[in-house]
Amino acid sequence: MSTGTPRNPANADATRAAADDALRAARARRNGWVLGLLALAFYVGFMIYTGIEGPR
Amino acid sequence: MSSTAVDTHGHGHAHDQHDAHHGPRGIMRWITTTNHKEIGTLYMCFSLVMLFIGGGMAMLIRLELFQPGLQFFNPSFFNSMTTVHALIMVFGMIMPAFAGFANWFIPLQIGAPDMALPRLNNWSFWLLPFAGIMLLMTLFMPGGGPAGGWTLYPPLVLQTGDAFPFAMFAIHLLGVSSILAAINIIVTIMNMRAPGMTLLKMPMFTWTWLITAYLLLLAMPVLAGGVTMLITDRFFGTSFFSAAGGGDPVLFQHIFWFFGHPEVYIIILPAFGIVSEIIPTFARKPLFGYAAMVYATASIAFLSLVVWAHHMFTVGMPLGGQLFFMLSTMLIAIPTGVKVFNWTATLWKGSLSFETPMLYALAFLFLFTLGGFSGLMLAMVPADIQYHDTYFVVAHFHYVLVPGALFGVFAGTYYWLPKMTGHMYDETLGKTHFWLTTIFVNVTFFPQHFLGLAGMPRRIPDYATQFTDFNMISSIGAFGLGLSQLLFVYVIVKCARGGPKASAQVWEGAHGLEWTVPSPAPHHTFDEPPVVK
Repeated sequence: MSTGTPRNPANADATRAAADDALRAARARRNGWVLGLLALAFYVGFMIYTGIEGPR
Repeated sequence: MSSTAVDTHGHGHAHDQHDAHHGPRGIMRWITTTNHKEIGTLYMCFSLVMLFIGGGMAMLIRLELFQPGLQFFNPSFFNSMTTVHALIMVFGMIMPAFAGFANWFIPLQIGAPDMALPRLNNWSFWLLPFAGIMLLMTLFMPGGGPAGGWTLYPPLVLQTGDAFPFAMFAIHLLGVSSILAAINIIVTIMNMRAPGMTLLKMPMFTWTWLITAYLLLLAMPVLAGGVTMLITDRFFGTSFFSAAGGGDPVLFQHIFWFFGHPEVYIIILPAFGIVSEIIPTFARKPLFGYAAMVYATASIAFLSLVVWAHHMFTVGMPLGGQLFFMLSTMLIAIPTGVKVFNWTATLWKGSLSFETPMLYALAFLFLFTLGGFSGLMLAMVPADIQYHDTYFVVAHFHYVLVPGALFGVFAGTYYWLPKMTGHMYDETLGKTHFWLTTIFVNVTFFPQHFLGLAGMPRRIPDYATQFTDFNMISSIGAFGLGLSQLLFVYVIVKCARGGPKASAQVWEGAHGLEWTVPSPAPHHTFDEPPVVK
C-alpha cells in the first residue's frame, strides 16, 4: 500500500518542508484567533465588569 | 542584539530572494498587496501625510497663540484643533510610522519570508485611511469637530455636535487596526523566527515591538470599551459616566488612562528599539547589557499598566492611592535609567561616527531624558497639583513625543532608508534637517516649561499678557519646525529617485539579518530560512 511518501530523497525533503510550513501556518492562524478572542474578551468583559461593579 | 553568526548556506541568497512581483499592477497592486515591505511602505507614506496634516494643525494652534487675544479662530475651533491634532499625531502618525518599520524590518530581522498573517496585515493598514478621513471630516460637520481634548472626557465630549458618532467610530477603527497589527506582530515573532534565532538572540527593535504588541493587546480593548460606553451614554440612555443617572464621569478618566498611559509606552518603546539598533552600529560595539535591556523594556511595559491614575491626582483620591501611583510612577525611572545607562555605556570607548541616524539617536538620548525628568516632577503629588493642566504638562509630553518618538522615527528612516530604496540619502541635507529640527524643537517647547510654571493653562486660545514673550518664541519655533520638515520629504524623495548605490551592509558597523540581504531588499526575502548560530 502506498504511504504517499515520495521515493526520491530530494522530494521527501521538499514534502517534509511543505508539511512543516503547513503546520506552522496552522499554528500561526490558531495563535491569531486566540489573541483576537483575548482582545474581544477584554473589550466585552471590561464593559460588563463596569456595568456590574461601576457606580450606580 | 547579542552577537549573532549567520550561515547563509555558503551560496548567498541568489535562489531564495527574488525581485519578481506577480499580481495586479498600478493602484490595485497597493490595494491588494500582502507583501510586508509594500504594506510597510504604505504605513510610512500614510504616516508622512498625517505628519503634515497634524503638523499643520499645530501651526494653526501656534498662530493663534502668537499674541494674546483672539486673532484668527473662535475658541471652539481652537479646541477642535488641539483635539484632532493630538488624535491625528498619536493614532495617525506615530503609531503607523512604527507599524511601518515593524512591517518592513521584523521579518527581515528574524529571517522570516513575510508576516505570519499577510491578508490580515493588508486589512489592518487599509482601515487606517478610512478612519483618518472620517476623523478629519468631523471638522466640517455642524457643531464642529470634537473639542473635548484627545482624552475625550465626558461630559464635555458628549456635547460634541453631529461629529460625535463619526469621531467615536474613527477611534474604534484606529483601535481595531492597531489590535490586528499587534496580533500579527506577536504571531510572526513567535512562529516565524529562523532556525537558531532564540528569543534572546532577537534584535532589540524586534524585542521592543513584541512587548509593545502585548501592551496594545491589553490597552486598546479598554479604550474601545470606554468609547462604546460613551456612545451608549449618548444614544442609548445608559448612565455610565453621567452623575445625573447615577454614573460617574471620573470612571471614564480611569478607563481612559488605563489605556492612555500604556499608550505612551506603546509610542516610545519602538523608538527605544530603533535607538538600540543605531547606537551599537555607529559606536561599532555590541549593545552593552543586551539582556538587561530586554528585561528593562519588559519592566517598563509592566509598570506602565499600574500607574494610570498619576494623570488624575487632582480629581481627589485616597492618600493610599496617591502614594501608590506616585511611587509606582517613580519606579519607572529605574528600568528607564538602566536603558539610558546601557546606551551611554555602549558609546563608551566606541569608535564613534556621527551620521544622521546617530545624531538623531544622540539627540533622543539627551532630550527624551529631559522629558523624563519633567515627568518625574509631575509624578510628585504635591507638585503635580500645581502643574496640572498647565503648559508645563504640554512641554513635558511634547519633549517625550517629539524628540522621543518622532526623533525615533527620523532616526529609523535615515538608518533604514538605504535598505528600503537601495540608495544612500544626501548626508549633508540629512544633517541640515537634523540641526534645524533639533534647534526648532527646543525653541518651540522649552519656553513652554516657563509658561506652565508661571501658571498658563493649556487648551486655551487666549492668555494673560505677561505670557506673550515666551508664546511668541514658541510660535516662531513651531513655524520653523514645521517648515524644516519639507526638507525631510525632499531628502526621502531624492533618495528614492536615485543617489549613490547602497551596499547590502550599508553601515560599516551594522550587524543582523536585515543587512545580509541586498539593498534595496528584494520583493521576496528568506524564502529559505537562514540558520542563525
